[in-house]
Amino acid sequence: MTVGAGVGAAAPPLIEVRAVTVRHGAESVIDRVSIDFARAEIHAIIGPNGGGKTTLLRALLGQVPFTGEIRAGWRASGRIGYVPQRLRLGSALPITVAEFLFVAAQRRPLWSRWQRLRPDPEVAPLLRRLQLDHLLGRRLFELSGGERQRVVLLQALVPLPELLLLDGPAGGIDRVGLEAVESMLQELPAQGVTAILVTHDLDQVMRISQRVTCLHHQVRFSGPPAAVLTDDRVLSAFRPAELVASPVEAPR
Amino acid sequence: MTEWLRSATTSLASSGWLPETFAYAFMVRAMIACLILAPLLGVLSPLVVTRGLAFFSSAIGHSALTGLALAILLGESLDGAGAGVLCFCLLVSVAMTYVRHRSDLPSDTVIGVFVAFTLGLGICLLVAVTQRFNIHQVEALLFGSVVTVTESDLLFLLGVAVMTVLVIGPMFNGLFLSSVDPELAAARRINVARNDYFFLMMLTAVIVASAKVIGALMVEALVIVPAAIARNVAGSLRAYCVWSCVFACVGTQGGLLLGSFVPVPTGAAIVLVLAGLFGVTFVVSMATAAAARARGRAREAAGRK
Repeated sequence: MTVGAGVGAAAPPLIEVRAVTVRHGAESVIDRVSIDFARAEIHAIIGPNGGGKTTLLRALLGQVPFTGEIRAGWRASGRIGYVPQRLRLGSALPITVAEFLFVAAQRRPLWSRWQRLRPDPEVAPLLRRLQLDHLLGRRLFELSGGERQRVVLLQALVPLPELLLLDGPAGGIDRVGLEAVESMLQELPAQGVTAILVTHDLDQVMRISQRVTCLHHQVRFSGPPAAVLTDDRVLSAFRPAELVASPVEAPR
Repeated sequence: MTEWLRSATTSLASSGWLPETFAYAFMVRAMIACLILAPLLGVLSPLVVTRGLAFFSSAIGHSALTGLALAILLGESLDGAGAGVLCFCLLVSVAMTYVRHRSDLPSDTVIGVFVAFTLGLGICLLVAVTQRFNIHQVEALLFGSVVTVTESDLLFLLGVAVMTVLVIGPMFNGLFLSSVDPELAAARRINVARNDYFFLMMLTAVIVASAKVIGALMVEALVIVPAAIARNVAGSLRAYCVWSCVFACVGTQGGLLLGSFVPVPTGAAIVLVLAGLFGVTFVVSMATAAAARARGRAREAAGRK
């Protein structure tokens, strides 16, 4: 059976999230959340800040304790590519882009290689498409936020994962980079990759995702973007209830 | 190896190239000890600095003293206390890591609590110990002393070095990746917590083994300063590790040489040389950066014309 874009409904989902609750102290960050992530689709997660989007990704990564169940029906490598919101990287570590890609993908200690670091042949076209080939020798902490985010995305795509988790890359990506990133993401479903994309950019959701879920502690709505992203829903999801009830706020 | 190096240094000393102390066997043993220890600490140093473990190393140095006092009180001789010190330091290291992983407190606060505890305990125990031993004998562990390095110390050091290369080698990249982003490393199936334990236990063993040669207080410096010097000159991670090794070797051998001219403890001499190297590279890196800025301004000005 070929897994491709649009196989959708009949095939069992890649990831089934069932009544997952994550508590931080007494408060639940996400509360009895159930979502199906279909195979080979781009599934966007939207919602207000602090609504539990990143927490959901961390639960999927197994990095945070939760109650409930997350089932994965891996068919290929079962590999997860992860693009965090931002790297915790200071200028104390002078790691270059080429070295970062080597350290992420290889087991051999970095200092055991004396010759110049060259990216693997399968990485070269990705470097060009993400417009990173001229940055290989630059140090990671010197790059702009957008450039760094593209490097991290490239890291997540090598080797090709079965599930790609992207945490809010839209915010930090420059306009030129954004087109490159989006065209690359759009090709992933055809390669059998499922992507879960946390974003604030609703236009981006419309452009590239097949499904969108709005998360504010609980699932507010979920479905194909064109059908569910209506003005009312988006407004009520992103604004606290009291603001919607009395939309006029005195200017400060 | 010992014999060969000894005949080489003896002939160099008699021909006047090296100070005459290098004709003695203890000096040759000290040189060999430093040649094992320097590259080892040189490779670990960037990892220590990147992972923010400078204070951790200091805590292990302090607990070595407490461990020594404890071992002696339990009936060990001064020379046979090595294993006891290592066990105590490993215990402290594992306890510290366990609490660090689970506490909401910042890492340096947790380590500070352990430093306070081990120092307090150490001082109490030392008072008891000095009733039986001369305090100067215990001091050797604090400030290091080349004359006290024995053949068995060298074997212990070599053993720890081989173990460290075997354990840290395969997880080297993962350790760097997890200090860039632990969750990214975990997503790439790197066992971040396990790596952290293994790394810190090996670091503890290296610190304890080195303490006998250059002194507990000075090991802390040798774990931190080579990376600090290397960061001043390195443009990439690989250069960072290589320079750190080079400067650790230059610093230790330079310190031995300095110690044979001036009557100061070896450990202190080594640290002074390293600090001097840091000062020089810092000034050079500032000057290079200023020159680069000036070039940039000149190019801009030329572009406007």
